[in-house]
Amino acid sequence: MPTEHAVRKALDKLKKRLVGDNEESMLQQEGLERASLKGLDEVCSNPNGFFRDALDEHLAPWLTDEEPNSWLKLLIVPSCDPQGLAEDWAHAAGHQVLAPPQRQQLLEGYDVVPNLHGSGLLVIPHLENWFIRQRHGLHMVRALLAQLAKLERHCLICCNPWAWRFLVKAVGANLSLPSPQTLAATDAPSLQAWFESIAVDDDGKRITFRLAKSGYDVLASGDSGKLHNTHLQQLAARSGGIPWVAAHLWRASLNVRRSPDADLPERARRATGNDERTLWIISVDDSRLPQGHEDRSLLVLQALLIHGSLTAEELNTVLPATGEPDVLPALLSTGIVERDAALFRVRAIAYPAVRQALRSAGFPSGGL
Amino acid sequence: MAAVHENQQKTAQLIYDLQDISFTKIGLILFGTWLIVLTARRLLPYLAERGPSQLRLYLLGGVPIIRMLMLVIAVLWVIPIIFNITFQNFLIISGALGVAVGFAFKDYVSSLIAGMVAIFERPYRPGDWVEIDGDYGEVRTVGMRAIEICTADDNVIHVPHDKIWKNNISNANDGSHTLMCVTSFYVAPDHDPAKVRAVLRDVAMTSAFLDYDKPVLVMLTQTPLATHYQLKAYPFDLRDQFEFVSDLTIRGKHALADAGATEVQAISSLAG
Repeated sequence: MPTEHAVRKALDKLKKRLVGDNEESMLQQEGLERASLKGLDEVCSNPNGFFRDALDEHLAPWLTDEEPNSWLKLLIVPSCDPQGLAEDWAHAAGHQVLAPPQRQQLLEGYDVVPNLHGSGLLVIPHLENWFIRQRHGLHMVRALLAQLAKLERHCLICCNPWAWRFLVKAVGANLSLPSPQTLAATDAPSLQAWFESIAVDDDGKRITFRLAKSGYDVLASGDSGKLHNTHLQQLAARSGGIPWVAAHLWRASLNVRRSPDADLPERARRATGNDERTLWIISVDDSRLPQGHEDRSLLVLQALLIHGSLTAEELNTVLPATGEPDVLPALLSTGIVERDAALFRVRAIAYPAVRQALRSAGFPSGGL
Repeated sequence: MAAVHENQQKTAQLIYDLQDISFTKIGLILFGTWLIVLTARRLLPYLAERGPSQLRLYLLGGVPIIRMLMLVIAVLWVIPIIFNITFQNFLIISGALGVAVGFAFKDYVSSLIAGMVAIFERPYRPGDWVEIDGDYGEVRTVGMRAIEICTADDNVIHVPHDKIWKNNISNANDGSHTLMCVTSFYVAPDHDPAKVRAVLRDVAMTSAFLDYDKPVLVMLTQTPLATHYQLKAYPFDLRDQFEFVSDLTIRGKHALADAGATEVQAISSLAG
């Protein structure tokens, strides 16, 4: 859990303050810098293997059923998913993808749903793109749900958990759609298998991932297959079992030594004796909300999570008009929000901290 | 014979001789009590403001309970150190206290007793939003004699506990993390009420402050001057109540205009 990470950090701080930091790190954090590895970057920024395999396996029996109990399947896809995850899967498998309306049309109360009839699987990759949290913005999703309730063809509807929670309240989406399902959470063994499969650098050398503090190889396991170290367990818990969040946290924690030619401390040299290439793992701290503007920042983050991504103008239409200054630039500079052309979205690496902050502040949180 | 006489003298003695009273012990007890109460008063509100909002009211509510427990323990501990407690002495002390309280400190003691009753009956707790004698605000602290209410205009009002004997206490949230907010709109009668009701419902449903676990209701009543709409909904945190009502009012006005309804100012209509 992200809470566990926060508590662990707080206890570490308290311990350091009370008894001092007696445990000397194998490598000082100042001597490390972010590892530059193109191969790992690509894999971590688009971990769609998890999604694709799980989806194929999950949907196969339902797709072949000519008279299913329900023509509809609702899949809750965790937040901050890589762009085009479900679309790519649907296109690759030759399924029809239903394009969402323009956000401007939603703001104008447009409610004409495209024709849903046809054969084969129809995929709605982001139900959150069919509404906007504004008084005119619910007409389209209501019309879509009414059409879906009458549909007689296989239809997969993907939605993020924050949007789903909103839709259940605002338009009673749970009355038209079947019970939501979600993919199994990513745990430590699956992270280990995944990281092992990609542990090769750009020159083809085998990478060993070691904790900078203790030098432990975090992927090492015993004969029974049990991991020697709990780092991956903590990573899986902190990411909430979301593979892309875990991938980003993992990637951000990987470092190399600033001066590779300088002598390694004796303990580190002994630990890395047989390594072809060593990457050092340091702890990744959570970003902080802009001080003095926490409430407004949380409203912005909740809106972004519900809609997946929004432009600055769209964001203004879904937030209360309080006259407060714009916090988006500050959220961008602290690394909590990222920008893709005109669209703003919550960064996957910041998601655990954002979710925790929203829950602590009492916001209705995303969940089944 | 001498021993019996000495025993009788001891029994008759109400307060121990000064040299027999351990002032150090009393001092330590009082200091310890004060320290624990002070720590609770500082620490619990600090944690309440920084911790999860779901725990806020529980933490704030712990302060008066801890203080009362500590004071009862301290009094029960100190009395036998100073007083020679026998049945006879108990009657003497009770009588003296009764006279003093009856004449000099009636209202004060009434408030103290009401304060203790309030801890158990809970007409208000720290963090609750209450209205007493027309003053509406958040209960900031529950003291021994009085409570401190902070109004929306940031005025601090001290209300003695003995108000609970005679006055009605209106508690908006009663220990819960949220409370119902009512936003009123007065609309000229020539409109489509079903349409207005639907758009006002959507106004509440799309508010960023809405608590998803609580219901939303739009009520309308006909008055001689206008149709009175009441939009009733809950914010997810009671501290957002004024922001929530403002948000509903702003967007509600736009929604009414879009729905072709005209708002009516009741007072100007009366004047006209």
